Amino acid sequence: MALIQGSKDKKDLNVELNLLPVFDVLSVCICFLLMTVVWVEVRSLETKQALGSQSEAESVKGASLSLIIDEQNNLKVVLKNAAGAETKKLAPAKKGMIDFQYAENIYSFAASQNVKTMQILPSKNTQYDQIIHMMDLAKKAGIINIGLSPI
Amino acid sequence: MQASILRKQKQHSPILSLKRINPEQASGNKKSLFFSLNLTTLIDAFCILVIFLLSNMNGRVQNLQTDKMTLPTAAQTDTLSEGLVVRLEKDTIFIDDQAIPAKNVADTLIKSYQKEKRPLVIQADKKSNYESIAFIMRAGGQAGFEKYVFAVLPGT
Repeated sequence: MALIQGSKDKKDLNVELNLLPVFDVLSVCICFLLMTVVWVEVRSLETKQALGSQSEAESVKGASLSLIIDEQNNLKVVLKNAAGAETKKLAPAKKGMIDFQYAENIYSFAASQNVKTMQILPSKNTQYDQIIHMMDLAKKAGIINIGLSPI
Repeated sequence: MQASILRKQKQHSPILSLKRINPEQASGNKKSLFFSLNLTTLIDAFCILVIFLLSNMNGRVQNLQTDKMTLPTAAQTDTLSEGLVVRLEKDTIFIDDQAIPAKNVADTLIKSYQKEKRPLVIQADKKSNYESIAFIMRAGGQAGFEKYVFAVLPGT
């Protein structure tokens, strides 16, 4: 590469850059980044504590949905409309699990009633992934403010 | 001027210099044993790869350890925001990677919240009972945390 020389001892205007060190640096960079890259991306699901710490603005009365999960994973639904009228329903557990299909239908109905706030009250035996799935379905239906009540 | 530079380039091109190394090339029509590899395109590709990898690793510095547990999956997720990570491994609670006895969890959270007000990131195995999650949430409530973030894996 360095063989190019100007004729008659004149300096050549063309410069040839040695790319091999650049190539080496980039190779090392790629190796390092590939080793440190996060292959499994962790995401998040946000919630607020439904009881105890809510602000005054959040406790304004309106249409709301409450889900109570008992120890047998039966689902008790309390839907309150803006006028204050309550509708109570019970969905028994399916094969020891929460009836998610029923919950999804309730969420869709609640969303159509302009419900934006809901709270979940699980029992102490309720599995964590079932609660997350309930919250996920609620978000999917368009219910934004999800509260989780401590036992 | 332009023409003279081009002529000079032609006269002193790397291929011609290779011909000097391999005199047979100059005289006959035999193929040269030397070949010049164009590294420019390779470096372009490497640069793109480096930029992609660099952009992928921004803001991921969290004390999250997913190898010791299976996180629950959720579809409607957000980007994981920075916060105080509370990890629940079996019966042991780790706050910022330090094992804390259950009786001291609330005090530790209060101290952390007084230092910096940030969300509480809860990381637990998907088979955990709500009792243990609620314990952390109660302690967080005592400390003043208002926003709780559950670490999940993206999925359906």
